[in-house]
Amino acid sequence: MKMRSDKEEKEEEITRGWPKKDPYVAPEGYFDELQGAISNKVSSGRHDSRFSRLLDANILPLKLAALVVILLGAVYLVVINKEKDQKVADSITFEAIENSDLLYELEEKMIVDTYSSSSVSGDQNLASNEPVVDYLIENNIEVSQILNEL
Amino acid sequence: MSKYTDEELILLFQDGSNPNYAFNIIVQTYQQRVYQHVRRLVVDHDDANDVVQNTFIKAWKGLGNFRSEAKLFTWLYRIATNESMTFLKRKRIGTIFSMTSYENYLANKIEDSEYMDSDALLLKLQKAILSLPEKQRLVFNMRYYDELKYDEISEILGVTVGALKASYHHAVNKIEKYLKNH
Repeated sequence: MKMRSDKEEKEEEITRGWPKKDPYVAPEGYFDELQGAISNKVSSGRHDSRFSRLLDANILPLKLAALVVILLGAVYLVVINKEKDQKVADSITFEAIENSDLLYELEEKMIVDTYSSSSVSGDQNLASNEPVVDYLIENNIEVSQILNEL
Repeated sequence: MSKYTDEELILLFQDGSNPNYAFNIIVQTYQQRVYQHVRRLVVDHDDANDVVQNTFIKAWKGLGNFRSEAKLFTWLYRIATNESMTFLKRKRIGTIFSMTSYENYLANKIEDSEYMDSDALLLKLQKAILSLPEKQRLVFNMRYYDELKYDEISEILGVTVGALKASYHHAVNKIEKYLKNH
């Protein structure tokens, strides 16, 4: 015979005063109806969802019609989108291009701010200027001379 | 009481001679126990009705492949438990943005439920059970109300006997604390 553990004995002691009766009651006559409801569902196959029943149903013409409608819809959407793109392309005129913002119209301050906030370090700027400085020294050209010519 | 054993009913169903008859007897035999098990989990009668019907419909679909190594009753219990858990999961997702948890909602519903014994201590015990984590609640119900053996619960839930014993022990202690504090 199995020995009961201390834990089990303690559990039994605690639960002894608790009611054992199940508080959930079913409505009167429920189980007579339940049996019938289950039998009906099982024999008629009504337990499937509406969607799965529609998929399983033997309605080939309807399925084909739905497929044709979906395909036509997809073709229509492609054609409409192409026409839309063409209309946008046609609407762009030389005037519109002329009137659009160009780089020289940007404020000088904005360019300076952008340059100073860029990640390019000062050393890199010096390095890229070296050939220019060498050229000026070799050809004995003064910076003031360049400024005058500008 | 059915004049057939479970094994005979399964054979009667599986050999195709009279599956409807065999199935009706199975439903008749187990519907009350399955209903009580489900009802303790989902609380509401209408919800329990839906879950029980789904349980037996799944049983109908699976009975053709049922192997007699498992007991018919534990197999039905397993389907009912899974169906109830799926139902509760869906309900919890539905109340994800509400102020109270679904378990709190159920605890409040216990008092308003039409088909409920109104004994105060019974209701208090049910509220205490509803405050438990889901797994402990399941184990407690199966052990306390259905008086299932740990081996049977293990077969139904797929959890080791040791883990079940620990769950039941925690559940009992928590319920005791709840009853003292409320």
